Amino acid sequence: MNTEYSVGKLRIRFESRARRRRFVVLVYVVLAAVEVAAIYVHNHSRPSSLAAWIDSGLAILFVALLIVFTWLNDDWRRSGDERETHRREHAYARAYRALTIFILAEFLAVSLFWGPNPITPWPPAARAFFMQLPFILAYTLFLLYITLPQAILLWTEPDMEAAPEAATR
Amino acid sequence: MQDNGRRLTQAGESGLYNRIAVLRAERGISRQQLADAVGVNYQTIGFLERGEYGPSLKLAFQIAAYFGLPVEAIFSTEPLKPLSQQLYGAQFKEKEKP
Repeated sequence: MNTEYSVGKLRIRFESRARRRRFVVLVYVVLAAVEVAAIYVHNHSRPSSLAAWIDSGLAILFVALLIVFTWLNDDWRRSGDERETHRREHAYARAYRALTIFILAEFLAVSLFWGPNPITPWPPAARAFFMQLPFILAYTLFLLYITLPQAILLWTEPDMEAAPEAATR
Repeated sequence: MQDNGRRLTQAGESGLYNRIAVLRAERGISRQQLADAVGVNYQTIGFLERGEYGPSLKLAFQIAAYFGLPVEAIFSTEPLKPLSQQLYGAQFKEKEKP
């Protein structure tokens, strides 16, 4: 795992697991906020150039965050290191097991709440939300599908050694 | 290197004891050099030394070949004695016998 990343003059160090975990939480909080903001913009703004700009901005921010997040673990994919390969495969297996449960829950939620429900009549506001449920869940699933394995890797890897120079002792 | 003794007598998560750190120190080899020689990341050598990762059979043999020792001299499922004790302890015991 590469523990140091440079973005221009900015150097980000990821040896510490605590720091990596904070980063994972931050990324998911921002992605969730972007998702909520996108839903809000779609529902509460009339088609206008401003809404389109906000929408495009959120989409760009979303994609940029995903790229940064997957780039962080890029060396894991290229590395032939057997430990890293083992850890990566384990993380993917865990992520897709969790995603299977998520898909089942999503299917159940959509089956129960989407569309007209004669058993439990929802108030109009709730009905409007539930009509969007498949899209919200599909969006969340897409997000998790791309990021969860990387998040598990960043979350579970123990504290790393600083740099090859420091590891020569 | 002050915890070499611990590494010989504590297996860590892998359940394996090893002498990699001792052998590396003895021969003045860096983790990076050993990692390059056996084709792994330098961090993996650290994990191996601390017993936090159990190597594949292939990697264990590669490390053994690099040090020119049999694999059982480097890895063990039992706590390892210090090399000096293993080499000379038996001789001293024989001398002590009347």
